Amino acid sequence: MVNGYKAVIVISSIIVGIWVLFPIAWMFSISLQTEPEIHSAPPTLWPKNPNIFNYWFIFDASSAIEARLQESGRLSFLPAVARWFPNALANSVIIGLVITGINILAATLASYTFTRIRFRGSGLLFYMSVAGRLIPPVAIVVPYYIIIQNFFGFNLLDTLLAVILVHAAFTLPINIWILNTYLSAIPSDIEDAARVDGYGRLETLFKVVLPVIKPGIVAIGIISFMVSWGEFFFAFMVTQTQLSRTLPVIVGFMAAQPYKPVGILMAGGLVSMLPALVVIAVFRRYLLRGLVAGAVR
Amino acid sequence: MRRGDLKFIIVGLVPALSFIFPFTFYPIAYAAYVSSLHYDLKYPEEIRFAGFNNFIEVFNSYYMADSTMATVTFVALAVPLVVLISLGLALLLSQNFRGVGFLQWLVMVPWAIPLVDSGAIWKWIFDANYGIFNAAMKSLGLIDSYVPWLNLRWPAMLILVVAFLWVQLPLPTLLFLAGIQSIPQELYEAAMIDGAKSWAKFRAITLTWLRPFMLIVAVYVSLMAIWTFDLVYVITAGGPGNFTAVISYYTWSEMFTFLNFGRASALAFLVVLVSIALIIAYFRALRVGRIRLRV
Repeated sequence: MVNGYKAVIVISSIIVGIWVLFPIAWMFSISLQTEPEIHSAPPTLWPKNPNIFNYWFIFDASSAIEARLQESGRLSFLPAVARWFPNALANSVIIGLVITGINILAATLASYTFTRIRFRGSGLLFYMSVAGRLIPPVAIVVPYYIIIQNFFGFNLLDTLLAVILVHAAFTLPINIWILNTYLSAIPSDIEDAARVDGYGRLETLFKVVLPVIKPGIVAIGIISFMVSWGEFFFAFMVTQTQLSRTLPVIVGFMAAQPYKPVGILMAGGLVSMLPALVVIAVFRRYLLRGLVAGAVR
Repeated sequence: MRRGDLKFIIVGLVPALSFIFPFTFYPIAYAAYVSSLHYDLKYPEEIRFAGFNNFIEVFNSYYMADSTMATVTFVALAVPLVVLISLGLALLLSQNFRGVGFLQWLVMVPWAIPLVDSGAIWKWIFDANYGIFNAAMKSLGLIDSYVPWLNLRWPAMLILVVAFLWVQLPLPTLLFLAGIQSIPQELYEAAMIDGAKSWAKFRAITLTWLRPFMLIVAVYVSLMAIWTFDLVYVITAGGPGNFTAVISYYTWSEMFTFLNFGRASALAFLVVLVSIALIIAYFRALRVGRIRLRV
């Protein structure tokens, strides 16, 4: 019995590992190959001379091009937009962190209010805040553009703030719903006790509720960051230059070249993965079982 | 409502709603308005009220039947798979074994890659000439010559589903995992005292507790599947023929290729109606309604 359990765990872990890692390993191998190597049959499993040109190119396009020219005198078609890759990396990290902060704060407050205070119209307000997410993005992107172009008199196009506003509107509804579910499942007895002891609402929320719903908050933190990190379409519509373009936008541009440089695309994908992986790793530590069990007792 | 609660309601809701509401009602109203216009950017001087014409045109369009079929097939394949596999993954990740922390992290890795890239790598794996899948199949002797998988109807659809799974599994898994973490251990202890077998415990406690989470996952994944555009665009571009050209693919072409905003909005609204019907069905099936799981 115990051995069977162990075997199931080991085997499924291995399957999960292969499932996740195989495409990434393959991306990595391709990113170290030259374009002729990539376009060869049968495919090169691992390049004989791993070549870091693709990485060099996305971090410092001009010096990489110069070096390549001196080396071989020939240059294949390269996406010029890749020179903004480092800017985009910084933009994405800033936007992602701000979005995470906004969501943790605003979604926690909102869902606490929705689940713990009974008031007229609470249900209606909740449905109204979630409803916006039912419309396919393609139908609402034009009004989004109009709003951002004239946001209370300010033209926010091509600013980080524009992307932040749009992503916050995009992530908050689902996160409120998630936390609502989470909070509803947790008995309010201890909170009532805390209130009897003279705690105010905010104090109850921060001192009693927060520790209990920690896994839920960690989950919405990760979700906010990652959804913002990967979001292409809205970011694409409200940005215009490297000042505000995010990673998916730049990578999208790289992929939209008439001649698609597969190696550079893969290198870009792998590098854009790294900051997000650090964020997940930091957050995940807190995804351990919260104090639910202990607190309810 | 107690005294001071009104103040808290304002403090609690204003931050979130001031982000959400401006980007909810105006866009919806605008989309509804545009869907009733003859609004073709190629002929900007001819924008005029058109009633339900856009809806009628969309219904009678050459792509309606095929794209509905493609969407239904894709959603019916992808959504149950994502829900079941992510539930299984979350169960695995909630066990206590060495390396589980690493595995929790690993499962979320595909999320970190821009969708264009994940699409591109799956397309490349199944590429007819340079793909590793063909090379592997051939060296194993399963195929005699390279097969252009993406030009075959069902293989192309399945490749889309696989790529969708790879991209979309992290969020549902994380949600289920957070849900499992919130199950009070007492429930299991009580069940143990009652002598429940593990399958009974799983059904009576874990699944019941996760039901509201299952609802979120089902709704979220369905919306994502119905809206899937990026993967289709990158991997199959709707082909072969129109076999994988889902509705959102045509919404995009109406909007950005033909610049017919009226028809695109009408099509989007039809998608919304179907989504709402689906969501109501989920609410019924999972019987969540307005139950509050207060213990």
